[in-house]
Amino acid sequence: MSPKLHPRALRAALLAVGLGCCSLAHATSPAPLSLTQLTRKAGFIFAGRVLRVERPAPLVGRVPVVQVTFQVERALRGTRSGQTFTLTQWAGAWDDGPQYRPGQRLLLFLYPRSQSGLTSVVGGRLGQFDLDEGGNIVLRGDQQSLLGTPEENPSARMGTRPPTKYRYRDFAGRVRRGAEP
Amino acid sequence: MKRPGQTGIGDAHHPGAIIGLFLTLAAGLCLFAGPLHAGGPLKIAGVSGFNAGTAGTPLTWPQGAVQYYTDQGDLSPVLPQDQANAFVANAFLSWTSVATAALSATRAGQLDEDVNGGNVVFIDYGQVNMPADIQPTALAKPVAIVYDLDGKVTDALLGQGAGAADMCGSYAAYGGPDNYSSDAHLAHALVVLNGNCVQTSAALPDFRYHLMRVLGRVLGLDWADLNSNVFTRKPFPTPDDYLGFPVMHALDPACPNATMCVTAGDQLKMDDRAAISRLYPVTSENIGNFSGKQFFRENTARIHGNVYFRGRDGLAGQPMQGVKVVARWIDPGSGLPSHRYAAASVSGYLFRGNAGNPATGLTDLSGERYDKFGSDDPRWEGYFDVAGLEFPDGRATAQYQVSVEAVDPACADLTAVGPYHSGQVAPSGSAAAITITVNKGDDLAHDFIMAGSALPASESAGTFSSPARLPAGGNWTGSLSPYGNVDYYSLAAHADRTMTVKITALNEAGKATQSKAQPVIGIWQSSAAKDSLPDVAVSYFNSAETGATVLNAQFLASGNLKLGIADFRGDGRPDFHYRGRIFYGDSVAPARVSAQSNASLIIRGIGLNAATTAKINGSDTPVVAALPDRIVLNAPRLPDGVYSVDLHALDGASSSLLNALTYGAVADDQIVLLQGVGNPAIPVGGEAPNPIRVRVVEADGITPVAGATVNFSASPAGILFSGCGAATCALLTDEQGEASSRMAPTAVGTFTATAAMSTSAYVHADVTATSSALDISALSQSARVAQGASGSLPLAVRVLSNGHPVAGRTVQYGITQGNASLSSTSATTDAAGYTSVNLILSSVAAEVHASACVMPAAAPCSNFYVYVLPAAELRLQYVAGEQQIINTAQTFSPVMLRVADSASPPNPVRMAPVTVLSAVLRWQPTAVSSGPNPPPPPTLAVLSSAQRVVFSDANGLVSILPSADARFGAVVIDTIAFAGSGLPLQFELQRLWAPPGWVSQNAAEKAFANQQRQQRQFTFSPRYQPTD
Repeated sequence: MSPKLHPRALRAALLAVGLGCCSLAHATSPAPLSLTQLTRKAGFIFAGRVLRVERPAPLVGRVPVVQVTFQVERALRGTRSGQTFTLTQWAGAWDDGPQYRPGQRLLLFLYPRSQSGLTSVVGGRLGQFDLDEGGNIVLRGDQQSLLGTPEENPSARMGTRPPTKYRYRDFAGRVRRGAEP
Repeated sequence: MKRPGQTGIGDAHHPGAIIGLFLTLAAGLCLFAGPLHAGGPLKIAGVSGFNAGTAGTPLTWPQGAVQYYTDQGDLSPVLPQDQANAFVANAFLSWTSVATAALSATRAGQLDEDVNGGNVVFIDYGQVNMPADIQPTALAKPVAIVYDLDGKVTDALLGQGAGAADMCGSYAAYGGPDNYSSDAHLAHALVVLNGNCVQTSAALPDFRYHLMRVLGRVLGLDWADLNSNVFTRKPFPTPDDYLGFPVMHALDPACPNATMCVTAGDQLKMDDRAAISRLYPVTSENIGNFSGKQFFRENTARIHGNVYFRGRDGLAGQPMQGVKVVARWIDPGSGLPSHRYAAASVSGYLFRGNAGNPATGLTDLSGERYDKFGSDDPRWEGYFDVAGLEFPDGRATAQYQVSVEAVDPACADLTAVGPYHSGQVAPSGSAAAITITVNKGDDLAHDFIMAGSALPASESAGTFSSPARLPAGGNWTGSLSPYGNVDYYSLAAHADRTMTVKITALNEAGKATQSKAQPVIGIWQSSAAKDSLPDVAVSYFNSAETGATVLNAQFLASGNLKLGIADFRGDGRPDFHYRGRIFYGDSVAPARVSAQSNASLIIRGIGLNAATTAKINGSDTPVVAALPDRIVLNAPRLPDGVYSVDLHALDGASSSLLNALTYGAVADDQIVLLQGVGNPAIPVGGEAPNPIRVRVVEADGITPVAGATVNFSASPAGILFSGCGAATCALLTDEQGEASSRMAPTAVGTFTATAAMSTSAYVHADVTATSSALDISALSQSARVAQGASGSLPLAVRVLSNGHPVAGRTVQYGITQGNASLSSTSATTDAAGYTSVNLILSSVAAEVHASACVMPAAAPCSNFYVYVLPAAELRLQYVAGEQQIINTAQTFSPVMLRVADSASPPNPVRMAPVTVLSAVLRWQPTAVSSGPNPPPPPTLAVLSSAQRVVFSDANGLVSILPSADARFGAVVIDTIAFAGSGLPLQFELQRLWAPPGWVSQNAAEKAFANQQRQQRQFTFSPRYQPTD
């Protein structure tokens, strides 16, 4: 009888094959983004609804921009609930960046505005979360790693996958904890 | 050995399959002439913005020759300018060295400057200047490579901190094409490299990986979606999954570092090589420019074809866009599909993924038409092309498994793959994977008809020029199919109304989804020109509800409208189903009610039902009953004014009838004095012979206003108004618009009595009061009775002395004209000075006069006048209650009518016989007439009937209490009442089924409901009849 490999051991071995051969060569590379990093990088964090999207006529020699106006429904940083917030974003990034449409409800992590007044979503698309009808935060596949690190999610320590949906209250709690020094 | 799901040309067990596939392949070889240069292009020329005839052409660099210009500055400590230039050249080389790709990249020189935070500068809020030769219009330097030494350029463009080292996972390298030529080529691209992400040599491989990805975009490649189980872990990834994971995968690996996770992360994989070769194939025409390269077609194999929905006949239906077709090499060693050697193509990649739509427009924010990109040729709608299949083991023959799979839903917007950028569409149905044996140079065709896919819609809604009638009830389902289909419905709306239109995208199982249609909604005037923009529109999924697009509109004018429903992308497919819903309150009847009446309000509209909740001026207003096209409310008691009716549905839909309901009087109403002038001087404590009587009418001067509040007062305050027994009095007008009060002065002098609706709408009547040593004043001095009436009426007087009541005085009564008798000829005043006797009439035929004199001097005296009205002069008037609609858990209130004479203004008539005929009919829903052959009206079912005679009281009023046996359930009570020979009054009361869950509003109703419930246990009447 041929020896059988325990499935968990096999998975670990395969993972080692996938990770191990490169880990030595690239040990100094930056860690993946976590929710804590998103939080610390962000100058504005809020859940809101897109009111309008505008693209002012570009001026000669100027960087084209898009302006997205939000109704802030729940504010976590840099803005207040109930106020409107205008995101001015480089249209070069916009062309391949997140698309917004009026009525869309999102939770956004935005960089602080640069001296130019421009900002964008932290981490490209990572800092843009969808909200479901209950106001819960729904993670896309590419966002699950944000809460997948052991320090972000206790379930990761136990080898289970983190949930793909979070109640706003819980998510906001994580954001607040992430903001603590 | 054959594995499940495999078919092959050499499979002897399935001769039919062999023949079928053979025919397909033969047809592909001989007849199909699809473009070879396809599969994973970033942009495809569309029907606008490019030269005619170029639609469907992937955008590439002319002749595959890329010239780039690099920054004059350094990139980082480990990549000063020269090394950075070499690093970029090396990354380009990864792409240009693909043996079958006719591609070259040349560093043609430097940019004019060191691009840094000093020349990417703030001009004004939201306005940033940057060097001219890196802008999209700098065609002389087609590819600009910016070395952002300290991340300041990235900070300026993307936000403070975006250029820091901890953001390198996202912005180590970014950019891509930003200008195109009209002949369908790439014209300019910008790449920004962030020096903060390459501070040490250890960071070089990962940085190279990010640079290669951006260069792939610069060369015109789309993102890829292959071996996504590297992220999803379903199934758990094997080493081959990593080894076949394309550099151009849409999503970065979910691990500390891309090249840590993915073996040879910065090395092109088969899918990358195939994709770049499809864009830039080495052919006999260009191989002279690319020495050492190999012909693409001759050294690889190609499988192409179409993915289709099944038609109703089971054959190929509409082409299916957005499905990933994956070809995986069958490893001869294992006999299993390899995840290392694989390539994919998304069906319909040449076809436009977004053509715009008539509701939200055909152009994007910059005014550029959506159909600038992607062909409109339906031949490409389901087309896929997996060219560039390699022969990894060096043999001349290979087997490939070809499967049809969904594109990862996460591949959208920034990470979109294939034609659908604003969200992937889940495939409809499935297709079994096949195995195909290929030789180098093979060009094989195979089509997939998705089994179990949605069938094409059997009927469609109307067109813009001929919109369909909106389905009754306001709930319906529809489909946006075929491609480009827009459903139009006609709609009539009233000014000052709001409406909710909700369109929910459904999947094949009828469940709400966001992975099928992206419904947008527009509303046009019915007279709008075709292709005009709607008056109001909303984009898709603007609601928190899954799959729902909600339009809330307010109508400023009445008129006919068109409602249009489209897919945001202008798409249309058999699996684009939707559920439509309209929630709209159109009219309220009556539009004017008495302030205190608890009137029944009928709200007609669309989509209203028993679950609708209503508020008037913020007050919850119960829905008494619900019918398919209307609901019935009980109006709350409110002060005079104009109010909105706000309706809400459980699903969040709402509709308001703005300022649609008037309580009592409004500013434009008029008040008219009917009676009260010409009163003689009367003793203090007595009563003016003529009461003050007013009528409130609308601005037209005719229409009476019921329920208006009229405030009576006097100046100086010396009149007691009998309506309230006080010096001031607020009375509501009846359904004739009338309110009146008798007046008793309480002091000597002349008083101005005022009846006012407001400070600007009022009438006056003067009353003068005197006093003497002995006075007598008759109360209700005159009366009108019906001819032939028999009965008695009181003759009351008050005896006063200098305004004070005189008690114990005898008053002598006498008949001075006509035939009548008295209950007594004398009576003694009480402590308040009052006394009375009854005048007894028997079949009275003519006017009767009587006198009352204070004894013993038989002076002073006062007279009474009884006028007799023949039947021909009797009229009936509505007073209250004739418009009641209740439910089966409620009881009717009395209906009040008044008998009056034919004078103007009419006077109430006592003792008049009123004949009341009533019939109780089974309630039946109104037939909805539609089409040329409407159904016949339902047969009337009379459950009971009755006839009776009632007599008018002292105020001419008769009270009729409608009733119907509780066992009858929902009924209509038709009543005819007539007095004398005047025109009869006819009215209809309704008792409808109580809505489910009805909660009675008061104890009496609850008791009645309990009683009914008990009775119903012994009857066969239905407990609840659905009405909607």
